Amino acid sequence: MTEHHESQLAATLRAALEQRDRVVRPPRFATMWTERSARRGIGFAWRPLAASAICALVVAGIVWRATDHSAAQIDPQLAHQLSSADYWRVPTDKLLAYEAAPLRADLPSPAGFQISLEESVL
Amino acid sequence: MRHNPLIDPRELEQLHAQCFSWALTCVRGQRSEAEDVLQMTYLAIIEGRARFDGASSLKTWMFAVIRNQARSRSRQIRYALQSLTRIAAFAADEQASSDTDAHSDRIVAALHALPNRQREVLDLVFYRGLAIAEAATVLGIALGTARVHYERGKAALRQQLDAPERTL
Repeated sequence: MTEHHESQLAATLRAALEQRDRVVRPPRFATMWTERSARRGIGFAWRPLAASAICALVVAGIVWRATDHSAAQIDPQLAHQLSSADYWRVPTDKLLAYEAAPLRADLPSPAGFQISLEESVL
Repeated sequence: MRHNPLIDPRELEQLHAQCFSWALTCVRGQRSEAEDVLQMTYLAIIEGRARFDGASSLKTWMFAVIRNQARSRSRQIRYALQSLTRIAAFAADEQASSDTDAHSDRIVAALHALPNRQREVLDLVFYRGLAIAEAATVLGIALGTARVHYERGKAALRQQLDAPERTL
């Protein structure tokens, strides 16, 4: 193919493709560039991290529910006194100031709680 | 942009029309397919699945990403939607032919009928003014291979364009 033929072919093709592009107009860039909508979601790279965080939150929730939070917070100084050898010096009224944690188990009714003396000794 | 700090969206906007036109060539002139391919390309850029490192010009890189997206998409839907695609292409061709002149239609149809690499290298070199070396970068092939496709494409296109003229 000579250079003349080649440039002729190029011009023909260029003109035809220009005509095609005049007819088939591109959609607006703003409708296709969806950076904002993409940012609303979680990127691929962060998905494992997000899944781990969700799992950790679920586990933390289960542990929180299983833990007894009704126990009264004790005064650190009093706790220190109770753990020392002089625990008996702690005034009783101080100990009574702390509310006992509610029991989560069903207690047997007094009526059905009849054990003979022999059984209790054994 | 977080994943592609070297890309300025305004620069992309300037290339938008050219990118759409190139996507059209990659999908043999099917408008809806070209839109989907370009949308997927933009998403890949935003999400960082395609990263521009500045080794080539942004235009060359964009063309390569668009081509890869078109190839990937065509593989995905080739078998499942073959018949549906044919119907859509037929409808699109009918619509286009009512709007454009027959001569341009015939040339574009002849271009679309060429094998993928021949069609793409001719579009890049003749229409978009890329050097054959740049076209090779876009297509991900060696320069020598691109030259072969360029020569074969020219001969095949010339043959297709000449054949009907002789019969008329």
